[in-house]
Amino acid sequence: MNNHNQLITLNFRIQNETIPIDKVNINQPLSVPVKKALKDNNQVRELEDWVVTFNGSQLDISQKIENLGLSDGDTLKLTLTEGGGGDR
Amino acid sequence: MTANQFQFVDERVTRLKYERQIENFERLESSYRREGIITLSIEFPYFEFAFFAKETLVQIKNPLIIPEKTLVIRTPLPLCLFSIKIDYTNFDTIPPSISIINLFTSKKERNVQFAPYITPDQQNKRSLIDERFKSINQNVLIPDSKQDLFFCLRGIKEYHEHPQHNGDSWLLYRIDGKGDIRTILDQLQLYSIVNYNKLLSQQLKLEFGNG
Repeated sequence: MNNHNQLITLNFRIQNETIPIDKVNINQPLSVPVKKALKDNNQVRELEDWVVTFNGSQLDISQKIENLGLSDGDTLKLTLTEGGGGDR
Repeated sequence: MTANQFQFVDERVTRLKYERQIENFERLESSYRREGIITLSIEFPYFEFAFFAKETLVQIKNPLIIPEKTLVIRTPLPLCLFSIKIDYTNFDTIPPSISIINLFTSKKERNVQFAPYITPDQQNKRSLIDERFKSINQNVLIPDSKQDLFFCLRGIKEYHEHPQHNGDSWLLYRIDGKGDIRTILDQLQLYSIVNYNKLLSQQLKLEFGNG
């Protein structure tokens, strides 16, 4: 695989906004484009406050993008961690 | 349709805010549908949805078929985890109310196929009061004193009216999107469909004996 093929675009939906992140290197951990999407969306909550899901499955953002089976143009969803009864 | 709750806010105001919720939802409806959230009904002041898992994975231990071995059946058979009715009466003076309903009749239901929960890695650990939930799952669908099920989540009427949460007023969250239809659906999807899929990946196992 050449360098060009290692760069993909991932979309991140944060509530109603969809943030495209271009030129994502599939050898990076998923946390890298997630951080960028949060920054582009002006989110102040920290990275660990978010859960990333794709197609009904939760993703480990420390994993390399290539190993998560993500493809060019995929849209991932970011949901805030939020507690119920035991949470303030 | 008659509202279950008394409408004390000017209905025009609630209708306007409800219509905004419809707009918010409709922008993402196709995405929610792909994820397993199916719209049953949208009629003021309610939304009704069914939450589906897309497949089931069952291992059958049946000595008649394969002695002392397990037969694995992975099937794209959808499973309705539960159905809900969201009631936006008086929104957003008060938060939306959610009840569990029967998929076919829309009547109140006390049973679900899969009860949603928050896993430790889905918790906001910095704000936890109960330290147990750093290591164990937390139920979010809980029976009240009448055994009706309610969602113990911020932004939901039943949570804010519960005596345990009388210090956690809805007014603290009213403007930050907690009662928004997208926030509710995203959270419930995470705690139900996503966690169900996690269980599938751990391979649910059903054992059968000869009768």
